[in-house]
Amino acid sequence: MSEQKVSRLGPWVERPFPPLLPEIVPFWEGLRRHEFRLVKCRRCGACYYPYTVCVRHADIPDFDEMEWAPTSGRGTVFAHLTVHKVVDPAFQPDLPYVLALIELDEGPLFATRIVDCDPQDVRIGRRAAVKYHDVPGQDRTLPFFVLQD
Amino acid sequence: MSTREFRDKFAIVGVGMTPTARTHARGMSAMRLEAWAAKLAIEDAGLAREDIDGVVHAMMASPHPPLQWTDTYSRMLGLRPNFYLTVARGGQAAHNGLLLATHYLRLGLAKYVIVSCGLPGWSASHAPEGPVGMLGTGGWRGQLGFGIGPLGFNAAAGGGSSHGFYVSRHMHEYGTTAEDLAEVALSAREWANLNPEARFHDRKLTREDYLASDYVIEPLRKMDCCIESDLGAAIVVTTADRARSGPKPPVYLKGLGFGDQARKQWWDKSNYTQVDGAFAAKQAFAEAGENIWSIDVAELYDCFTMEIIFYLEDYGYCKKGEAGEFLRSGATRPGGSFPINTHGGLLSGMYLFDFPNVVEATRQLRGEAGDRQVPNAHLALTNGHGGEMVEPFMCSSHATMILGNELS
Repeated sequence: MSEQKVSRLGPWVERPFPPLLPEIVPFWEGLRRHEFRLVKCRRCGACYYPYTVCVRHADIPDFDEMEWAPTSGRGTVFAHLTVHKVVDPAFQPDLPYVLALIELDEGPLFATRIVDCDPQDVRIGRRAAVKYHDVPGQDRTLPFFVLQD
Repeated sequence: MSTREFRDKFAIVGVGMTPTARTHARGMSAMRLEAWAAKLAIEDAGLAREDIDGVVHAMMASPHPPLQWTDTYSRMLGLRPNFYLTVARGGQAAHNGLLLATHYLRLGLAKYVIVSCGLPGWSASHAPEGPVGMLGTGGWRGQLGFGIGPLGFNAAAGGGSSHGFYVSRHMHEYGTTAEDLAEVALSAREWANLNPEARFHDRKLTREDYLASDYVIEPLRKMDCCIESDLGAAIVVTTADRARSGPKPPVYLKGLGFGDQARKQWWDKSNYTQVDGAFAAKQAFAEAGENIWSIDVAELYDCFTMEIIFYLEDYGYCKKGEAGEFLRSGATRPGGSFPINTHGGLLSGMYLFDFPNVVEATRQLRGEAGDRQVPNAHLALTNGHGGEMVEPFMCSSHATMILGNELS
């Protein structure tokens, strides 16, 4: 393997994060356990992100028919951007950094950052997997992604 | 909307816009900017303040208390409306406001409704390096709570880090290039050079300048992003019968249409290479009884250069992937057969959601556009694109309107 480039993270990572919507809390609880959870339909197994009531049935399923379940945390790059300029100086050490939509193997798109890479190497269609980042001193794990060979 | 329920039944009789970018009305609140624009629009309509009996206030997609206040500006101006309502979804708020205003008129609940907006966007952004539009609004999106925004989306831009994904996909699927995007920026700038009110009236832009401009959120360069303005704008609308007694020629509302990509699921792949313009435009053109080629001038929501490419393709002016070629023909530039954004657009003119588009279309149809006047302009196309930016999605909502200065 070639030399691994490790992303720098600015002081933003130590700031308190804004409150979460109650419906997304189980996703972030899963990350703490290094589980990548999606909302899954108990009837048919279809996966969703963000929280969505399954659309594959003629009736509207009950909310409790949707459950957060561990998934692969893998997918392919669907779209990507390289950020060169920020309005928040706390992100200055991160520049340039990559934002991406990952088409998860279970179907949904997930917006995230691809870390530990040369932005030039990010291409649509490349495989990527979640990389959990436990924020020091905080009860929070961030769902970054990394490219896979 | 069924045919002839709407066409030619209502008209714009007054428009007002505060002096724009080069003179920046800095240091004013949103309500003061809005009040100033409303005063200009009421005077433009030849009305007095007591004639205005309905107010529709337009605002950002999500609550933005530091910049925009509701239920406030009309009191500052001494208006006495029977109702004051707020419409949102940012980039199409003017079109949404007109929909609401016409309904009040139809029900006989008001005689003259003012639709207005104010936003000290430039002051809020404090952008030291100039035309890095939409960047200053970066903070507000993170409040939606899925938790991903703080990882670097909000820091990057209010709009660029959502809309940019669409550029990435369109380039991938249709081979769209930086040169194609440049055509949009160059066209807007040529028009801005003709409009003394445009932010970049005095500054030329070449293809070389464009290609040399810094990436903000690659593939978006600085020149792909709209500017920020401290701006207020207002539109007075009434029934067609009443409109004919005003001092200025009425600008009739001929068709209005709406679309929303929320009709598809979040991850529908087609969502990322188009807007819902085809759906909205079909409604608007059907009501107007016109086809896309009968439009004389178009004022379209260019929050980023790519949006113009979406509109050209999705409205049917060219096939998917062929907008670059259409733009290179020069059709959209001064003297071209399909002039777009004669005010300079949001890219080079001024930013206040879709309000400048409606104001400029009105001025073109009245023949008040000075050096940038499109000869014999009878039909104008306007649009707006708005909504909330929640990863993995950008603004989903779309509005299309057709205005004309003759009865059908």
